[in-house]
Amino acid sequence: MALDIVLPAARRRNETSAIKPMHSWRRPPSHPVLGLIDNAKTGADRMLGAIGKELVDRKVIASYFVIRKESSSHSITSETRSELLARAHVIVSGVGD
Amino acid sequence: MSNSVREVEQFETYTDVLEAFFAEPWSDGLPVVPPTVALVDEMIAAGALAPGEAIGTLPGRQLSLHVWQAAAAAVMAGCRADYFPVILATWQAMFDPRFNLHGVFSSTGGAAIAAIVSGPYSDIIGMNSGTGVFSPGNRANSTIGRAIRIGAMTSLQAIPGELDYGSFGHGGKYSFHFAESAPPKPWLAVREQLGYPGASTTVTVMPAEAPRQIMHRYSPSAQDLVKTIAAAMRDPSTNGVGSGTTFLVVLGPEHAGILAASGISQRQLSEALSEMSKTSVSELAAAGLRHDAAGAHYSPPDEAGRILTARPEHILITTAGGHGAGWSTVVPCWTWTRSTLPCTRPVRLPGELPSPPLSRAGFPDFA
Repeated sequence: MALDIVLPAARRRNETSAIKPMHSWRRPPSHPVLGLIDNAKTGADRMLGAIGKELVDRKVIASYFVIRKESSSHSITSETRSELLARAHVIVSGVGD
Repeated sequence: MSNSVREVEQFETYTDVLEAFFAEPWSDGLPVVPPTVALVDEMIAAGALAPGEAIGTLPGRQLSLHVWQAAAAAVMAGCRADYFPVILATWQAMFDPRFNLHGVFSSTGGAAIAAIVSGPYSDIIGMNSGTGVFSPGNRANSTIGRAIRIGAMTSLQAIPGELDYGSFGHGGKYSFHFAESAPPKPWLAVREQLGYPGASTTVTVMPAEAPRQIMHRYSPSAQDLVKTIAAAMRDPSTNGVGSGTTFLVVLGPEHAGILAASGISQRQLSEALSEMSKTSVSELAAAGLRHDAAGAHYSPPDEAGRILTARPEHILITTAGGHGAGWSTVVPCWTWTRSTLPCTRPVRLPGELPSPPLSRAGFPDFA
């Protein structure tokens, strides 16, 4: 006898097929402006500054800026998200202590 | 939200369900009970919320947890239907914005959800508050916490390497629900300390590091016992030490009895533990940790050079565990109170109206 089973969530194959660029209308220039998110952990500012400078020196990006989160354990605010979208062509965030 | 539609799929065998669920992954790594339509509907009926109701939404993720999903996870975990009111109260407490659920799930700190069930309903459903309270063996304790973890993984994507970036995690992430045993008189149960009626049952959740067992059986002195507990709280490798964090202090029967018999109140005990668990720049340095005055991690020292670990109102005294020799447990919170606070919700049975908000219930915010 077949079992009628409630699926606890959407199957992942459906999610994967639905992924698309969030802002496909924005074509980054060849030398984009990079937005970096500082997660507010000790030393993050120094590490991100070094990465940004290196990318500028290598002419990979035109410039960069860093936005520091108010708290390491909270997501970025909607205001921060808006600022990133307005100023940056490429945004990088990460996980780390 | 994206995951609001309940889908039903037919499987031929239990093994087919098991393998499909492992593959998604819709499991905590252990076999699950197949959530059949009949079992999920029975679970939903045991709660006081409608199946399509969203219990909460994970900020920034556009993912909501609906009652039917919490019920499916409860079936998968092996819960009895009468456990479901406790599960719903747990989720409601976790979705309190002060709990910061996204941070709890995503942090490298790898926190578990520790949950104290305080009140008569814990006895009705057979939860363990005694011997082996944090051990396997009791169905209610084991499966209620498991239902929360499975729900987090299946419906909120709290999967290691996806949303969950806990570097290690610990065994409490499988399940960390327990019942409170009656405190010695005149002490108050957790629900009463937090402003709820004694006849109610509440669930209090705290994101937790691994528990630290405390052995103290060589002195009948309450003062010595407080020193031992404070020493465990002051461990400089604990993330929240020196930052202003929260602690659960779970006193075993002998320790609770010694302290209550000494005449100390729970509030006085919290104050003593707050004072004696303070650390210092030199203690941190002795453990290889640098107090960076410009950094965000540690609180500034006071005039005496002491650095706060936890304010009295953020040290919750509770009672559980077995008789024997003299053990207690300290459970450190995942991080400081600027980022998370323990949260409490009453257990609501089918047919009961929602409790009116209690103006003074719960943990005070940290200014």
